[in-house]
Amino acid sequence: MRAFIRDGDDSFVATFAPAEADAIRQSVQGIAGLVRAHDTGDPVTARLFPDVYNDSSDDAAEFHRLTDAELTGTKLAQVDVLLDTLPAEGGEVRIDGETAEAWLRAITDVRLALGVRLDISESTDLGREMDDEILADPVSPRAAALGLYELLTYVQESLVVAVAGW
Amino acid sequence: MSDHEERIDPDRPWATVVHNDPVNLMSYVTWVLQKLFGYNRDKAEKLMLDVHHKGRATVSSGARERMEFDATRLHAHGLWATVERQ
Repeated sequence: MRAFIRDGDDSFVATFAPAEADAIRQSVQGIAGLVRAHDTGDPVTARLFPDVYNDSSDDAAEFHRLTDAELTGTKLAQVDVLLDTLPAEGGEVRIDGETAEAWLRAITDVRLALGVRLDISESTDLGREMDDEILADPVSPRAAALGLYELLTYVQESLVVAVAGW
Repeated sequence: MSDHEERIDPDRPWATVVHNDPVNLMSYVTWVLQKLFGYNRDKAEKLMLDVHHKGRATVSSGARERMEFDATRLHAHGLWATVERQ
């Protein structure tokens, strides 16, 4: 992958290898499935749809009732934007600022979901986790998920810096 | 309470609080706070660092409905936000 850079006033460019494009597309499709299913017993759902009130479960539930449908629609729409602009075979991606923001939100959801599934905490040393996992079993699902998390971190960091204009 | 955190004001009884999470990038959180609240980079970074080091920071205060709107926009960007009475 070649990281995102700004190319002009409202244009952001990156290049993806076929395997990277495929992994990212599958991961956002996975998020769309989770968001549609809305299994409230799944900790990923709880992270993607946080309680707005910590001190009152009644108020929190009422707020979910009023707002979850709209948030679901937003999340599905940003997945569609990413899928429409990331070719399955990889290659160059050129997107405008509005599309870039949808990408940032869609990638955030995947990283949050992976963070829950991989049990990532403040003290997690991702490099070490990755080394341990690859030594144990280089083709394990956990190794793949850690690799995807690392890739998405790289995409996200480059895109946010490009969009913010820092 | 740090000097850049909002002070309790009887006319602004509710607060939107962003909580730390181990996943969202510091750069992304800063950018979201700039974008949603119009804060300059310095203020957004200070709030982000408060979230990171203290576990939470008040990012806006005012009427309850407006805080709920702010929390909703933060949730749409994947930040973990709650609304509380100050």
